[in-house]
Amino acid sequence: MSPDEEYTAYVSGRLPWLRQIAYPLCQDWHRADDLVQTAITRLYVKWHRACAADDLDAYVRTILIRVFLAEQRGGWFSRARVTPLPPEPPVQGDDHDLVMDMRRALAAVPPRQRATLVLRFHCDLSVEQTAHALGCSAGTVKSQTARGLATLRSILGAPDSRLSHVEEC
Amino acid sequence: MDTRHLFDTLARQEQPPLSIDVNQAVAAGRAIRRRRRMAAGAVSALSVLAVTTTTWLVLPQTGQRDGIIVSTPTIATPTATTPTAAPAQPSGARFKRMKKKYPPIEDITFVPEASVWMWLSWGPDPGGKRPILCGTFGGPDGVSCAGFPPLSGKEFARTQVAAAGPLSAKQVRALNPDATTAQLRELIQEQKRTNTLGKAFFGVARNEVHRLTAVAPDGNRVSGAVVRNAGAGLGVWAVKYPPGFTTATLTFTDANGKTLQRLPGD
Repeated sequence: MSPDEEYTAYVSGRLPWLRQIAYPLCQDWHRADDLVQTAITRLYVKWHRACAADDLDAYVRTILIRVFLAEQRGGWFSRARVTPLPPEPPVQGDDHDLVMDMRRALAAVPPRQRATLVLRFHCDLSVEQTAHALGCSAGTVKSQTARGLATLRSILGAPDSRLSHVEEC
Repeated sequence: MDTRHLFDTLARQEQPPLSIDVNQAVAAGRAIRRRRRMAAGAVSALSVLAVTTTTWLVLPQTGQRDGIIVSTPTIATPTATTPTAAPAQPSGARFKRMKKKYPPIEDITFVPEASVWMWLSWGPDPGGKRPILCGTFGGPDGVSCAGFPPLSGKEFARTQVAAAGPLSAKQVRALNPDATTAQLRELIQEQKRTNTLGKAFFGVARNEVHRLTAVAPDGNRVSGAVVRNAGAGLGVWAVKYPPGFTTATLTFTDANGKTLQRLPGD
């Protein structure tokens, strides 16, 4: 199997997973697809090095996170849509209010803290793994996590209920 | 409900169709790789250009190195793959006396191709009108110094000394004390014919001269050495023939390879 075929096979199988990481970061499926598209393009450029990595999934996840953070630093005017406009998502029922609240709360969390929360609680990474992905120290991850959770609590308005089970780092 | 569950709910609620194109990523990735390769090539080319320019600007002119002028071959010879360090100046009393009597205008030049030391001097009189070229092969033959009239308008180089060539009859006799007269004559003719010891020439040249080549009648060539700015607005040159190379025309050319003058090299 040629490197290009290996790449295509791997990426095709991991697209839904990457998308589910990208969406909490930007709360927008359109932007999430753009992020993933940019990330897999970078992955193609670095494919030989990525193949040699110990954990290819972690390598790709780190690319995705860094693409997101770089895009935040670049400002809205530098964002480019690299995928065709997807159709509007279906509106759906039971937890719709909760989802709306969550999206609003996450949008209020600064990007780096948001990335920390996504890695810690959505990807189930340890503090050390998160620190490696973000390129910072474990102490920074702990402080960013605490601040991000505080922001979520303040916006969701239920510090003692919804987020009570979160272990502070 | 904890934070993890909130994230799960968020990702589960809305899943529009996938709009990510892997083939587009491959095409874009290839374009990035191509651009990076081109950029790397351009950087390499610029680096080579910068190093070449810096070397050309920073290094001293040909032949001048740390106060002692060491000639460089005008054409690279197959055996001269490493720079030749200048040997110590001759320590003989005659050399020192001549150096004191005829102080060098510039540094003393050593030409490794001909193993000759040369310098230009104004002679014992600092206001002398005629430059003097001194040269020595460093051996027991000593130092020869001779003044010369200025080069004429159409003259770019002049042969001052032809030396270290065939031994004189007296020298051959000294080396072969038991030989008969006929044998000595034959030895002299033989070493003249084959140039066993290697004939050498040196002289002065205008600074326009950059290169010297000795061209034998059969087309064989020997590169000489030209050292410019040796003093008195002149350079010096030297060439040594290899064994078997007995006669040639000395061709002096400028920086562009244009022939300025030809001199007999017999």
